[in-house]
Amino acid sequence: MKLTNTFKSAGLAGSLVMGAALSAVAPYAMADQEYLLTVTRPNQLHVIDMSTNEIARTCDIPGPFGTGSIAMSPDNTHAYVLSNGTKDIYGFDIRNCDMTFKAEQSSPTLQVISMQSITVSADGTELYTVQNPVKKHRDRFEVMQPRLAVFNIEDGMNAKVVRTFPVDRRITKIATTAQNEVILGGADLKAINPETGDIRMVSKLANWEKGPLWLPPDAFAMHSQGEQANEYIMPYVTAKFDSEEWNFETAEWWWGMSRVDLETGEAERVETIPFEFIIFNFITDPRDSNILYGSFNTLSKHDISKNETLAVHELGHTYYDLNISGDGKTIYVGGTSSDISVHDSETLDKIGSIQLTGDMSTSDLRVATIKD
Amino acid sequence: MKHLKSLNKKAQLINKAVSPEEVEDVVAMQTVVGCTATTDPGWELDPFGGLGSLCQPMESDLYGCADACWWPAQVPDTMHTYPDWGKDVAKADKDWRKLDGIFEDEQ
Repeated sequence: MKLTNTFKSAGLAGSLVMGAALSAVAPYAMADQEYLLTVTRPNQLHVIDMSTNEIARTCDIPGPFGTGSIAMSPDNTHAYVLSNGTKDIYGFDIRNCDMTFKAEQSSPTLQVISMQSITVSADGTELYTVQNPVKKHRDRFEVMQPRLAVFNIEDGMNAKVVRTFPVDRRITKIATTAQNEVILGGADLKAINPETGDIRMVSKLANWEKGPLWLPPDAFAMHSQGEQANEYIMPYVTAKFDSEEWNFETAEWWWGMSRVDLETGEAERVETIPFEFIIFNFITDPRDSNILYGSFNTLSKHDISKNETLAVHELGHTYYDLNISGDGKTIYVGGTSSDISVHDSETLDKIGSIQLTGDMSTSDLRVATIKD
Repeated sequence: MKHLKSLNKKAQLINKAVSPEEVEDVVAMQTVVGCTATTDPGWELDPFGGLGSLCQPMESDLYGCADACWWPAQVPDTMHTYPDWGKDVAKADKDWRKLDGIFEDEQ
């Protein structure tokens, strides 16, 4: 990767800031402050002050790197992170890096993996994850039924599962609605009541009924960074064929999205823009729900009311995910390597870079807004 | 097969599944779960038949493929089998030379 002098300077500045952050215990956060959160290798949670784009503090996470999946408490003061190959969950007070929660899910005879799935209840008292258990027999592995597992957050450093409910396989990213349903991102989008285990269909994907001329969607539920628009958002790719000869060359290819309003629990599923380049994740502009941004090898801006791409900015390397400031003016693009690229949401021009101590890999890029 | 006798539960399951009707259907993965092949962009060819939509450079994608057990054939699976593969290499684009290949006979 070629680095410009500006980029190198930013890296040096970032390293100095990081050094300072690591060597001092930072004071409590100021009121009404936005923080950007991500996890890097070997296993650190970074809390970045979005008013200065500098690292405010860095919390060491026990165990080896997981996948960097992060869930916030409703008041945004605590972050919960999947660690140790996504077998364990740790919670931190992001104002001072105090570890407040630990749940080790596996035992010598039962391996339990949570694939990206982690969220906190609407009232902040419970933590939810979809466990994928595998029983280790002497001569074989037994793949068991996935289940939604519920932890009491007040159980702290020795949290154990307090109840479970069976769920489908293939569930990755999850989120909690204001009604305290847990949105389950899987083959279809479903929601589970974590008190009763009742499951309802939110939006069909693998089982959609658009007719034989539509290709079943290929969805991607690795990240959902919808906190600034209070939504769960999951992109998918599909194609509309011009006949039942299903010619892939002449088909119309589309990006689409499933989007759930986390305030109301209402969902929409819609084809958005032509499939012209790869996008790993969408976010919605908090000022206008028709404006989406996407990232991968490009940062792109779209108006889905017109099915149009408004702007495309080539990125220096691949970035998996992105997020946005609360005022909608600044976009942060992250994941993969060790730098977060900062952009003006109007022009998509690059306006800054935040250098981290390690690769973000598949980590989330979350915004925590701490109010007084 | 008639001269072979299944001794453990796994072998008994194989015997039970010799009829194609008794084997569960294999379905394509519609969303990503670890250690599976996916139809998302890979390392060989992008969805448009070219290379421009692959991860650039490939070093930026190394840990993303390893940590989530995304492409376990292309890179070591750090979630289960090779958790120490990336030890002491925090930045793959800087220190990719230290990320060695995996050779089964050395395990």
